[in-house]
Formats: sequence, structure tokens, C-alpha cells
Amino acid sequence: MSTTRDDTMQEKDPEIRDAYARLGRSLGAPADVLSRVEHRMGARRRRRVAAVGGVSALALVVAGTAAALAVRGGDDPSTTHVVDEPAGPDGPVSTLSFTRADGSTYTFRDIKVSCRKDPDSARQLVLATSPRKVRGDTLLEPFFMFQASLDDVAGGRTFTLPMEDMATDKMPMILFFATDEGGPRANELSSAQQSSGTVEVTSASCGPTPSLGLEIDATLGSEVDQKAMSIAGGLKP
Amino acid sequence: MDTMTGAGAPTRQHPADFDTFAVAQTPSLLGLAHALTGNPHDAWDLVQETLARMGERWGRSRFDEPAAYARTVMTRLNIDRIRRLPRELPLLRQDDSTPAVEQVGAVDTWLVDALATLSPRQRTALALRYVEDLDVRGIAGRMGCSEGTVKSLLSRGTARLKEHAGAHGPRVRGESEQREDER
Repeated sequence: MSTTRDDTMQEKDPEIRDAYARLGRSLGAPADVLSRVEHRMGARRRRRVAAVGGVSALALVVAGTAAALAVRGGDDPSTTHVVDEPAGPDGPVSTLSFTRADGSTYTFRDIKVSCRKDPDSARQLVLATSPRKVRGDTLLEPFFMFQASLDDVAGGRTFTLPMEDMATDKMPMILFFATDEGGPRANELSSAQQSSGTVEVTSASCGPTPSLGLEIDATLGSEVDQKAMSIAGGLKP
Repeated sequence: MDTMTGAGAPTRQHPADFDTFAVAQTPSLLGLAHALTGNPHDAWDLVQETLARMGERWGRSRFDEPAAYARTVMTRLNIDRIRRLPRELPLLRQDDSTPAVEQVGAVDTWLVDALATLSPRQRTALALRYVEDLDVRGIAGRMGCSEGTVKSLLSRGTARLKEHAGAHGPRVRGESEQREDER
């Protein structure tokens, strides 16, 4: 059999066509499609948030301080676990803040900038994180994280939300924060959810002293089926 | 730790019309996914991932043609998944050990064998041509590439399929025979 480009365009080979038709009918869908899809949605949500945990864990290793010993010390839920080392006095100046449901405003004053290699893509990532303070599964203070590929933002870049490409799952930037309110389960908000606004990276660099400048005016969707929340302000190196 | 503040059970994130959409579309999506991947388990993973992404956006994004959009998502995921899924699947499959799909109809072994020898992009172009009945322009739109690229993929892919059909087919394998093979 010979094949030319034209015959692939004009008509389908009957034998191939029939074989594809049989292939398309050969599988039976599971009876519990919806529960399986819901499970996948939950797994995707956990994976996104687990990425934040991974960031913190890496910072922990790098810090190697008493904070690390506190985490390894046991699972006593009364113990406050300061997972990440706070930024030093020479850290960036942050005005990044959000407003709680009761009208009070919280500002992430203590932001640390770091860099690391993405283990999957080998890209250099630049991150800004606040200390993650937890007791058991309870978040004691709001938590903030921004992550981007250095190559994408080194020259400055403005991201307009929403920006996740759901067809390819490529997210050049992740903005995430979690609140310390809301009853048994705090709100966790992410640019991977339905979001709006802008995130501008004004400067970014790695090296001995990582540096990052941000201007944020965004409303992020909840990862845990709660309401969307806004975050605004800046981070100046 | 699954989340910052505890995992909890998966919660319903989508309105009832997504349920209707998902149930109605699953058989045809599964057929396309089988042609895209050539593998029943990968096919179900692709369907599940596609519907999960649609469900996350359902009610918050406007889908003019959700069925067509789902197929575009699936097509591009399939191209991307070869690189990404091996590291994601252990996490996504953590409570999902029960086989999801079952063989209910016959398959042509030569086609399955041939699909395994094709590149993901060749499989994708052929699936869109033979299952979705798209022309070159439509395939290019779904795949996000040029029409010239599609022609090349179809030409080489079709030639490979014909080689296999000529050398090995036609031979049709049904469910019972496949079970024999697995013993």
C-alpha cells in the first residue's frame, strides 16, 4: 500500500476507519464516573497546595535552624511549629495585605525571598514566603507565597489574572495565601483558581542575596470552596 | 499534609448540569481517549483529568461549546501528558486502585500495536481525523499547530498504520481473548 499526503486528506482508509470505530466502542465507562472525577478534582487541589508545603519544607532544610528542631520534636498539637525561619532585618519591605471578613486588615510584614531549582523542569524559581506557623493542622497566622520562574520575570513582567492554561497546566506564576480565620478550616486562596487583577514583578534576581519586587492587586479564588478574597500591596527589595 | 489546614473529603464543586454533561460525554470522550493513547488505563486517566479540569471551572467560566472544549483540553493534555503524567500519577492515583474501565468490545490488535509505535502527536492527529472526523484545519486548531504539521503527522501516521494492517491484520480481539492473554 502506498500513502501520499493527498489520500490522507481526501478520504479515510476504510480498514483504518473501521478499526478506529471498533476501538472507540471497546471500553466501558465506570459506573461511578462522577465520584471518580470528584476524587481527581480533590487530588488536583491537594497537589496544588502540597506544592506550597514543599516550598516551605525546602526552606526548612536550607535554614537548618532551631525552627527545624521544633518541627522534628514531636506531634504535640499544643506546640507551635514555626516551620520557616523569619526573614531577617534586612529582608524586603512588604505592604502586602488582605482584609478579613470582620473588616480587620492583615499585612504580611515578614517576607523572605529565596531561590531554588524546580526539580521537574530544572528552572530557577524565585520565591517570596512568609513564615508558616502551624499547630497540628491549624494555621496560626496567615501565610503568603509567590513563586515564578526567574527566566520569566527577571526583566519585569505583569501577569493578568486569570492566567492558568487549563489545557496545558503550565503556570508561570503561583500566588497563594491562607488566612487564619474561618472556623475549622481556614481559607486558602490561589491564582490557580478563578482569579482577577494583576500581579506585577518589578524586579527579580537570584545569587547570594535573592531579591524580588512585587506589586499586587488581585482577587484570588478559594482552594477549599470558600469565598474569593483580595490581596493588595507591594514588596520592595 | 494535604492542605495547609487539613485535607477533608473531596467536596462537590460543580452544579448538577456538570454531572449531566460528564455522564453524557464520558463514553465518547473515552473512545477518543482510547484512540489518543492506545491504552485503556491511560485513556481513563485522560478522561478523568479532562473532566476534573472542566468541573473546576464549571459555573465560573463560560463554555460556549463545552463538548468541543473538552475535546480540545483532552487533545492538548494528551500531547503534554507524556512528559508530565509519570510524576503526577502516583499522587493522583493514590486512592484509585480499582480498575476504572473494562473491555466491552473487540479491538483490532494490529491497530493497538501500531498506535504504540506512533508518537503522541501522530496518534493525536490520526485520532482527530478518524474518530472526530476533523479536517486538517480542524485538527490544527485542536492541536495548536500548523496545517502543514498536521499533514505531515497524518501522512506518516497513516503509512505506519497501513504497514501494520498489511503485516499483521486484520485480526480482531475481543474481551474473552484478551482475558486469555492476560493469564
